[in-house]
Amino acid sequence: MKLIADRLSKQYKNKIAVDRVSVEFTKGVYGLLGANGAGKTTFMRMLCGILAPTSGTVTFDGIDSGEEEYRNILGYLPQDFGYYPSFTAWDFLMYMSALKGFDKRSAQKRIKELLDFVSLSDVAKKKIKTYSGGMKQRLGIAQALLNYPKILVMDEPTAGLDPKERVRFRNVIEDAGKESIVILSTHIVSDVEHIADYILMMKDGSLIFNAPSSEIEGGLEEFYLDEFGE
Amino acid sequence: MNLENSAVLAAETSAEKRRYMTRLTGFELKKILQKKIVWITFAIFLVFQLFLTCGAYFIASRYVDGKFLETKADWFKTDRRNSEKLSGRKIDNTLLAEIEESQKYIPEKDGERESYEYLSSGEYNNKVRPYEIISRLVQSMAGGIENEGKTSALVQEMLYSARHKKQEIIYDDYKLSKAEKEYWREKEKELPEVFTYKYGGVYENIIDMGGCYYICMFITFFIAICITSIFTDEHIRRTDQLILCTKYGRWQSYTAKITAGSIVTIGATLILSGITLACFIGIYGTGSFTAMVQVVIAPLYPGNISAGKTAIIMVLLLFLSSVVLSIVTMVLSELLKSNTGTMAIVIAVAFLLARLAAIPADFKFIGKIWHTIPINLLKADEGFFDLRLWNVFGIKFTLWQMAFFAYIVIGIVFFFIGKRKYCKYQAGGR
Repeated sequence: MKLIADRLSKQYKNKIAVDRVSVEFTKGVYGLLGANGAGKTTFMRMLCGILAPTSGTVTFDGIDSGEEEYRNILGYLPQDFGYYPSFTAWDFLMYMSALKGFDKRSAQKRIKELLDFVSLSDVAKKKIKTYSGGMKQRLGIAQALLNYPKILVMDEPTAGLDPKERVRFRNVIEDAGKESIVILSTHIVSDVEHIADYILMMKDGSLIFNAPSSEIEGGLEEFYLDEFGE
Repeated sequence: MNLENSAVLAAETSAEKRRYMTRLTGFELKKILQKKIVWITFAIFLVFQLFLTCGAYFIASRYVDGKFLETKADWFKTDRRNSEKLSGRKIDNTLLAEIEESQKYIPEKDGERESYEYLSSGEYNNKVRPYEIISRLVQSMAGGIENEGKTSALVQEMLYSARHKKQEIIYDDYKLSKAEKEYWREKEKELPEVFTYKYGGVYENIIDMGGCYYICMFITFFIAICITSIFTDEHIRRTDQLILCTKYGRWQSYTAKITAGSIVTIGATLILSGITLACFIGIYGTGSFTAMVQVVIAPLYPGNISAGKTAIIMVLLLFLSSVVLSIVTMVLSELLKSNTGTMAIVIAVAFLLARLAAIPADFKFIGKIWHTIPINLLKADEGFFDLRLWNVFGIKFTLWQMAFFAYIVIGIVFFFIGKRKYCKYQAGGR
């Protein structure tokens, strides 16, 4: 199981958002750190195949990110996205499951599991427009996990979660990282400090650090501040 | 969590893929039908259509010289009864003599003809009115050529010869080529020498403005308001990035959206048409399916086609054009990434088509295209019965025949343009 981003670049007119980033991901949790505008979201979108790189490739075990087979093993939680306000959580997850190629029965079973997991079972039949920001974020996490993804890409997944939910979320990610490639971006260092097996740091579109978290001496926060010179 | 469970990775059969497509289409339908604007817009157009179809029948009355003459309902009923009595009669010397006889009771002075005293008199209602419809038809066939439009002293030969002369004038008005004139002259030969009058009933009204044309107009606006947001909503809500990175998030999702938009359009067209048809049948009766269009709505048309067949063709064109327009609109909204921009374009074009005068006959090619556009084509007199022909590899097609091919081709071309655009969409720059 190997996800390879090879010399990945994205250029918008005269701005380079991602500059020749090459990374090999294997099973485990990857914490992608960087300040706002560092290129994390652009990099993640390219990993998900929804943004074509200016140059470079993304492949999973030889499968290109543009292929249906690649999307079949992908789970993605974008940083900022909307919902269908008149859908219930159940409708929304059923819709996502249809998009992810689940048959109805398997989908129902899986959705029940996930709604329990994100503590939305009680409000599953309520319209999403009545949900709080945290509830919507949990629903987003549920849809990303729906298809047992081998590649799980989450952009700022803990935004809007309360402390208790953050702890539960970290446990899930830790579990997922045992069998899958989990890439989370955040600018909150404590979110990845305890669960990330590897730390990636981006600055001005370039990958400036890529190493196992065990190699970081002292606290990640201090290391992060040192690296970014802040 | 069991991350090894990859049942979804199993190769699907085509039947399973079809099931997913059906489910996806169901969700897309749900998204559309959950919008209040869809129901409100449809309800408004339904009320308009009902009003146009049978509003006058139930509400209006006929006043002459400020005095109540009869309700519109009674007027329609009397005309229908008179037409049904004449139905099946040949328009020959015998009938022409009867018409001439009835016209002896018409006052000489124009003012008296429209007076309350005359229109409420027994003479008018028993002697003149029963022949009014056929008299108007005869005048349409011969008016301006023989007897300056008066039916008196017309004999069968004069009537049909006058009709031919009027046809030749129309051929010149359309600036038809020799080959086109020959085509229609040959078609004319297929018609019987003496026409048989049959009551057109519902078919006349489907063909006429109140039927297909108004429904086409309303459906165009309905599409512009309700269907344009199917794609753009995903971009505005940023749900596009969720959809596009799923297994069936590309062309399957695109096809499901197009299918759902088309189904809603077909449904709206079906309901509007169904209710219109029911109203027409209730008011005008079914009439005769085999009535010649010449005795129902287009006295000078040289083609051999019945009113019933014409009505069916127009309804088919209405449905086909609605589906194609919905596809074109959805694709346009995806190309422009704006539902308001698309709405503005579609509504502006619809208004332009409805209000703009006909293209001068000198611009034949543009004129043919103009009249092949649905809103114009479904205006019976201006579009459907247009005599200009399309010549494709030596085979001649009327505008409505060509429209079937043209609409299907346009629909397919736009479908694939949209597919390419949607599948290659980049969720960047946010």
